[in-house]
This record gives sequence, structure tokens and C-alpha cells, in this order.
Amino acid sequence: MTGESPPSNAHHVGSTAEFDEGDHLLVEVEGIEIAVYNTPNGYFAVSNYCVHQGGPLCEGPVTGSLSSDEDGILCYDEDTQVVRCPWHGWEFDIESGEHLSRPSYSQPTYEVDVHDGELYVRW
Amino acid sequence: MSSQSVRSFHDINQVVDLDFHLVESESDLVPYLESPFQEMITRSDAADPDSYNTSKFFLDGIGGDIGPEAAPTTADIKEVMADLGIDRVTLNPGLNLNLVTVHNDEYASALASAYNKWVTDTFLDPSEGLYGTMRFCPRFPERAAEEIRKWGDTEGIVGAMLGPPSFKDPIGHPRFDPIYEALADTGLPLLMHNSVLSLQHVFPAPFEAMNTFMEARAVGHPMGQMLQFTSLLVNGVPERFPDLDFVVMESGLGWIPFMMRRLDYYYSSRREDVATLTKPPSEYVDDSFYFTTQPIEGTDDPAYVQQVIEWIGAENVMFSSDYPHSDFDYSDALYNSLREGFDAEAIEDVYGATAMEVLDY
Amino acid sequence: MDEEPPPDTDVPPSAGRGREPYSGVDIKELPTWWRHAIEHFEARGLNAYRPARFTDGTLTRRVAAELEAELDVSITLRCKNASVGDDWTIRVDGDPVGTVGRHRSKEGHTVFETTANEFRTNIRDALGENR
Repeated sequence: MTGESPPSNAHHVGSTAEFDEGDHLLVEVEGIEIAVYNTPNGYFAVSNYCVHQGGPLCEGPVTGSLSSDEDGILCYDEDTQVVRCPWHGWEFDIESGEHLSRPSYSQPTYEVDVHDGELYVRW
Repeated sequence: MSSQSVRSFHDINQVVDLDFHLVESESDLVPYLESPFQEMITRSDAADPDSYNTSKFFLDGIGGDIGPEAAPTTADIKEVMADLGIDRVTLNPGLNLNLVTVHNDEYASALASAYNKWVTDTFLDPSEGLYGTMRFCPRFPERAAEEIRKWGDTEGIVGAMLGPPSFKDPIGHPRFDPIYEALADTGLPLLMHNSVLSLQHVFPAPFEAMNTFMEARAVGHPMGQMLQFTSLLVNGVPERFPDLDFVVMESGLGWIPFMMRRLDYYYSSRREDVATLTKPPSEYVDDSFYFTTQPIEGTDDPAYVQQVIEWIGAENVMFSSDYPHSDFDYSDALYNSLREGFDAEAIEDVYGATAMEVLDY
Repeated sequence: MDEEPPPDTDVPPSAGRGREPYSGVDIKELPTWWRHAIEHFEARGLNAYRPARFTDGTLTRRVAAELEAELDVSITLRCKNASVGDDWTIRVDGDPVGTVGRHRSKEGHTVFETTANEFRTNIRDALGENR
């Protein structure tokens, strides 16, 4: 993706040099708050207004989660990175935006592009 | 399903009553008690204060009743069936709902086995429409599982009856899994029936403060069932045993859409409490839980009854008379509440078609 | 200096948690960034957009946009690894010039814990030092 200009609907949010894997950045872009997460699977951007009641979702912890395997045995899922809203504990997969127990609820996510070491969120 | 229109209660193709109570006394069961219990109960010193502690049912409380006209014999039962227009009746325990009040675990377990022998010996006759549930005592889950397997194929036994919640582990606890395995293997549904007198024994302090029949009845049944119902769901029993059916009885209906939504609400934010569930609690209820009708609150407001049954799903609701308890209502009282809001097929389902699928008639 | 009340243009959406905060408001009359944010939220099934405000009720984005135009800079508010209650960093042309307290109010809008005038002063002072 380096070398091309970012598309016109891409909004600059920061530089890749600024934050390491495991970090995330909250930024207000044209009045809209978005979090960009630097994960082992790449950069993911999530809206910072919880789809439930508008809480500050991305100020909640990002962790793995308690789950169960196909035999119904409890296990810890490290692969799914989950952000938990500080207001009511709603859990969302930061990559897909899907609510873990109520898949009909979905937190808006955004495409993240990298151009010349700069990060852009697209909508 | 009947294709003719259902214009009156008497047009209903087949009426199955899910809850007709027997009025057994402990002495009815004594001849059926296995050794050594029969000897211990009939021994000359059995009543002495220092004798072996096969303590009896502890029913000191308020809100229990048998009702004005018990039907103690098969002839009596058949007469009531004819009066009420019932084609098939499910005979359920009376006294033996209260096994939780029997202190001695071994004796409680022996009573359950004795009940099953007594009821099959005395009452069940499918050719006359007389069916019944078997009783099991969860205190020894493996024995309960054996008992279920013993009676599971008996003609006339249509389900397994669980009584009120107990002091010991809530009924969804994994230590009861042998029971659920046995039910799944035999194909019997689990019926759950509370008893106000038992509940007062299990939760003595708040219930001792109640001093009227009305309070005890109004709160006891739904409260006990809410505990059982929630325990099954949060412990993942319908998740682990998806072929099992659960029949929640005699606790009113309005709390059911409430608890479905309330449990879903908490599931949205407490998923890790119940991490073995793969769908919201209300979906397990839709798929595996059934609710019997008597007593229904609000029959003077048919719109209420219709709305609540719509919310639960008419296909999850099954008629019961609750004869002879004073909560009992004539069969067409429910019918009158349903007929404005539901079509003929739904009415047939509630009155018997669903029961024919869920229970082992 | 006396605080002026927020201008009328800052007033909608109405205070509180009403479901229809823009009822009675012609959204086409709002500034472009605001209208776009409202549409952005609606399109994504979020609760109604409520813009961030300073403690005096003025709109953060409006005040920042005015400063950007006046001073020919770009102003960003951001926070690395933000948790609830953390201060955010104010950046001018990518350089940090200070921090500001911030929280999401129970009404659903973000509050930056300073007044519009203090914010303006801080930005101008920072640029004055750097010029």
C-alpha cells in the first residue's frame, strides 16, 4: 500500500511508529471518536460509541475471553480479542465488531490503511 | 390436527390434562417400600422417639391444600375426566411432591421408588386414558438415573417428575447429569412441579414471616420455578442435552416472558458467567421448555391471557386442570380466554396435540 | 472574563437522553461536519450522534475548526491506550501542546474538561511560544 496516495475518504489518525503491537490509539476525527488497535493480526478500527447506549466502548479493557470448546468444556480464548464496554460490560470482537453473546448487535468498525507508515481510517 | 373449526370446547379433538393430582398418603406407599425400609417403618418401635430416624414428611406450613373433592380411586378419576371432557389424564404425585422435606436421604429415595410401584400398580391404564409421571429423588443422582431407566419404557409412564428446589445443589448442577443422561436415553421429558409447603421448609425464614395462604401460594410456586428454570439454563443443561424437554408446571404464566427477557438482558453483559451457552437463554426456552396452564392469572382479562401466551408461544403451552387443588378451574375457562386470539390449530395444540408430542403417551 | 453562553448553533441536540435529539431541528442547517456525523451514526445503527462539548457547553469541533481556519493549523485530540478518565493530548500540526481532562457523560456526549476560552488561550499560547 505504500507509494499510492490514500483515497479521499481516508482520514489520517497517526503513524505506525507511534504505537506498538498491543497498543491502541483513540482519536477524534471530524467530531467522531475512533479507536485503532495494533494487534498481531493487523490494525483494526472500532467506533468509540457503544451500539448499546453510546458508552465509551474503546476505553474498556481488551482481553481474551472465557469460552467453551466443541465438547462444552471451559477454555480460554486468546485468539479473539475482546473489548468490554465500561458501562455495561458488553463484549465485542475488535476485528469483526460482533457482540459475543448477541450477534444481532454489531459495533461499527472501519477499514484501516497504511501509507508510508501513516495510518488512515476509511469511511 | 383437526381441520374443523373449533367453536366450542367440545369441538377440541383431544384433550390431554398435564396435571391431575393423586392424593396418596404415606400409608398407601408402605406396602411398596423396599427392604429394609418397609421393616423399619412397620417395626413395633418405629414410632419411638429414639428409633431409626426415618423422619416423615415435614409439612408444617401454610398454603397447602388438597381441595374440595379429591379423586382417590380410578373410578373417581374417570368420573372427573368425563365431567371435564378430558381424554387423557396425567396423574401426578400429591404428597410425594414433598420428598425434599423428608430428612433422611435413604428414606426419601425409597419413597420415590415406592411411589412409582404404587402408581403403576394402582392407577395407570392407557386404554382408559390414565397415564402418569414417575418420581425420582435427586439426592443420589446415579440411583435416580437407574430409577428413570427402570420405568422409562413402562406403558403409561409419560414423564419424570422433579419436585421443589432443595437445600442441596440447584438442579442444573453438573452432578445431576446422570439424571439428564437417563432422561435423554429414555426419551422422557422432565416435569417440574413446586410445592408451597416444601418451599417453606427449604426457605424457612422469609416464608415463616408469611401468615396467609394467599401470600404463600402467590409467591411460592413461581419463585421456586424461577430458581429451577434459571438453574437449568445457566448451567447449560439444555445445551448439553438438546433433545430433552422440560415442562414447568403450576406457577402462572406472566413470569415466563419476563424471565426470558431478563435472562437475555444479563446474558448481554455477563456472558462469561455462562460461557458454555451457545445462544441466548430465551432461545433454549423456545426450543426445549413447555409450560402448563393452571392456574392462569388474569382470566377476567382475556387480552392479557392471549398476550402472555403469544409471548411464550402457544406451541410451548399445555393445558392442565390441576384437579383437585383449589386453584383448579374448569377446562373451558382457559378455552374462553383463548378462542378470540388463537386459531383452531393453536387451540388443539394447547389442549393436547403438543402434549402428545412432548410426553410419552 | 465572563463566560458567554454557547451560541444558538451549539444548542441541539437537546440536553438529556431523549430518543429524538434532533426533532424539530433542520439538519441541513447544521455545519457540514455535524450533519455528516449525524448521518454517519444513523447509517451504522448507532444511537444519535451527540457532539463533544467543553464544560461551558460549546462544541469542541466548532471551536477547533474556527481556530484551525484562523491560525492555519490542524488540531487533533487523541489518547494512546486510553482508559476511562484519562487525559487526552491536544496536538497542533501533529505536535503535542498540552493535555485535557475528558470523559463520556451519561447523556452520551464526550466532555473535554476545559472551557472554550481556556482551550483557545492554550492553543494560541502554545503557538506563540513556538513561533
